[in-house]
Amino acid sequence: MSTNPWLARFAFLTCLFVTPAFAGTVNANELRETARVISITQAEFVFSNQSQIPTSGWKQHPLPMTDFFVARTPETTSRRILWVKILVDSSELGTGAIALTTDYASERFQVYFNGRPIYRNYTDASRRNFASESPWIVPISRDDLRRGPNEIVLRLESETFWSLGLGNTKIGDDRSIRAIFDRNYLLQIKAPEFINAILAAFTLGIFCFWLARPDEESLGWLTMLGLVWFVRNIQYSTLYAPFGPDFSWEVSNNSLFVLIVVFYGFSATFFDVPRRKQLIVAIVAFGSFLMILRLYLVAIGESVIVPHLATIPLVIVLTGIFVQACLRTPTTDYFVMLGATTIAVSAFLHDFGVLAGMWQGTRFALQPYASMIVFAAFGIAMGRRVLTALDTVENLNVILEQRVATADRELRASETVRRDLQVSQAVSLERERLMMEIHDGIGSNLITALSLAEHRKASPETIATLRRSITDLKIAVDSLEPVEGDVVSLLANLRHRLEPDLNKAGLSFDWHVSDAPRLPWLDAVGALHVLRILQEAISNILAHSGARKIVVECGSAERDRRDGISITIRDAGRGFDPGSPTAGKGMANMAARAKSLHGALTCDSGVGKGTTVSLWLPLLPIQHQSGNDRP
Amino acid sequence: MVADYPGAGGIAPPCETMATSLQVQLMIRTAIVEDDPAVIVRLRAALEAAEDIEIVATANSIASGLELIAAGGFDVLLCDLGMPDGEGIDLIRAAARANPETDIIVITIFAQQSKVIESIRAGARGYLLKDERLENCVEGIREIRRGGSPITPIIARQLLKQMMPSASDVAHPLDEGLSQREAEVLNLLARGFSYKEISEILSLATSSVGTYVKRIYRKLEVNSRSEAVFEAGNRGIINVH
Repeated sequence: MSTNPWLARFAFLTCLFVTPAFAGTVNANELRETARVISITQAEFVFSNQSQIPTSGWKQHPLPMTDFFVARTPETTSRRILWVKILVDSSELGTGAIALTTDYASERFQVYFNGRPIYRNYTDASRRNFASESPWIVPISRDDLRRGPNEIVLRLESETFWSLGLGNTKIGDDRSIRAIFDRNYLLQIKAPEFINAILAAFTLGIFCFWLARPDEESLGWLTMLGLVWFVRNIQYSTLYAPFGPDFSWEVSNNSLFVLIVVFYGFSATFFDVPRRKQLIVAIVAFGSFLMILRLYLVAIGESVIVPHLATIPLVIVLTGIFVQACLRTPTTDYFVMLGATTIAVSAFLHDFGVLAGMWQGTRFALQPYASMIVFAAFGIAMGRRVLTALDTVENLNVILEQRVATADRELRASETVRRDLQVSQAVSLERERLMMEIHDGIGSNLITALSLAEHRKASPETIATLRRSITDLKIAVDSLEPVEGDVVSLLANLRHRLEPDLNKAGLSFDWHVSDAPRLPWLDAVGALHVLRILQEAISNILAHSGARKIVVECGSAERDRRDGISITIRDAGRGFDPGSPTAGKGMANMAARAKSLHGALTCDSGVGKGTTVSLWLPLLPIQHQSGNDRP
Repeated sequence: MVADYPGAGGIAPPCETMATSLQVQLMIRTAIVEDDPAVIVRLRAALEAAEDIEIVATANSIASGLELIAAGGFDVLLCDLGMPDGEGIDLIRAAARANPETDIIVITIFAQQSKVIESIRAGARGYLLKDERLENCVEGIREIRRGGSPITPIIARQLLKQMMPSASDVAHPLDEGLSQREAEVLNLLARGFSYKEISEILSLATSSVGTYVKRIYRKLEVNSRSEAVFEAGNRGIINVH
């Protein structure tokens, strides 16, 4: 799935600002209408169960009066009737037809104009309506209008004290009032109804998808979410609830907690947050607790504000978790869904505040709209997935080709590695075999032969030859040790091998070997060449120089502007004439070996001046070829 | 030293016994496991010439070697690697487990370095070349009893490579890494310097270079033992916790 954070952020911000902007437009429209419409801001009220308009006990109260569910009244014991009196002057009402509208009124109400009943919103007093969110319009006959102050009295009646109240009420010329009513009806009833119908269809569709793909957990959650939200949205759009208003209210109120649980269960699945299972269990537990708490509070007749308020920290924490998920995986889908989630949460808070009388807000419930936005966001995510899937199908050939190419490449690489491994294993096995052969065969026999020769007092030449053979063999064995081109190590081991014999002959080493770079190209064959050259030089000193000390130096050295290392073996013995034919043969042999290593051998000697033999080896095998030129 | 002798504790021994035990303790009791009779003959000749070394047991196979180890009663074990019925490494491991105080010396023809390192991992503390200078083994045995071990430059190099703290794998750090001084000693050894030269360069007593080497061998053994545990744990052979 493609990731475009800029597109994602744009979508997120759009979602975030659309709803408030929409609300702003509504307010602007209202302002324009004030010219022909009077908004009632002040009224008088009295609680009275008598059937006639009360004559006394009126108290001043601003409109809207919707906060009775928090401000409990003493008249909560029996059937409650709230009387609201509004005074309006005829001079403010123009000359045309007049109407009154309110965006909220209790279950049943009756309107008296100048003492005469002119309207009631029910025909059968025993049939209670449900949608208290509904706006109402009351036409007023001009015939009843008096000059000067006119009295409008509303008799509001409800089975539940908290639903008693009167919303924003306006009076004015019929056309303007009807326009306001129509808009309110659209926003409060029609649109939620429409949305709920779409929601039901969408939920059904998702449910079908889920049946087809039961492994997609988020589809299951979304089905549940759609279902719960559908049930909760009923209160906004239905005037006469199924199973009676009390039962429906109870279902609707409790559905809030179920909705929160399912909403966050869905979000946690959608965002695929870490430790999702534990989080969902915690949310379910907390939501159930709040619901039970609310039921208990209702049962004992206490205010239910606490469980409602308790959802706020939960919502904040969960939103934080989803923001984190978004930042971890910033895909368009995630940002869109985060935007939708934030809007939904804001809508909940908004509606809650309006209900609690904390603010006026848009004066209509936003929750149905929030449900639409969340489902639309999921629709976007689904749509994108479908598009990606289509793209994938279209590009299947290309993708398959790429995969084949990748697989081919990987296969080749692993084949190379395997072959290299086989080769190195074979080499190692062969080395092992050769070592065994040398050790148990030739080596063992040579040692036995030497032991016998010594025991039977064989000729010194025989013994010397046997000893030399053993030493040669040991050096050959050492050249096979895996030293990774470490010439210093070879040199050190050569000393270790030769020193006991040299010490016996009265010679000792003066060792000046510092750390030198490794020669990566130096293999076992090369190592043997190096060892043989040095062995030869040391043997020459032993045989001919008469010196007591062999100075050995080793370190980095440059030759012909090439990096390399130099090994120098020096004695202060007799020396020799480099031109003499006897010296020439051994030297030529050493020089040939040095050449095959692409190195250089120099010998500096003179009669009575001692001898210095230097072997230089290049660091990098610039001219080093396959090895055909080796002897 | 007397107190170390098993008979020294418990019942107070008479003076005579004290003197005998002192003498016994000073003798280096040596056992040999070697399948080549010629080598045994030469070793016997070399060791019997030394008055402070006595050969207490010999064996010529893994089976008899295991019996020899079970019987115990030796300070030094000379052990060949190639036996007709198995690998000498297993014997070394068994001997090291049976008595960690035993100095195990592996007998090899030319000090084939990888085999020697493997033996050290198993618990060996020295090696003996089966070549012409077998008479030197007496001094080798004495040196190892004094607490010093021999080493070759190539082995030193390998140990440096395997045990340097910086080079070691972060995922399974060594139980016992090299100290800085030990690393210095190994580095000089790998460059071919003799014990004497190293003791001069690092201002140490000559004998202590061998002691360093022996200590490094012990660390290698400890590390390889825990590696084996790690490996076995990984393969589910043994249950770590």
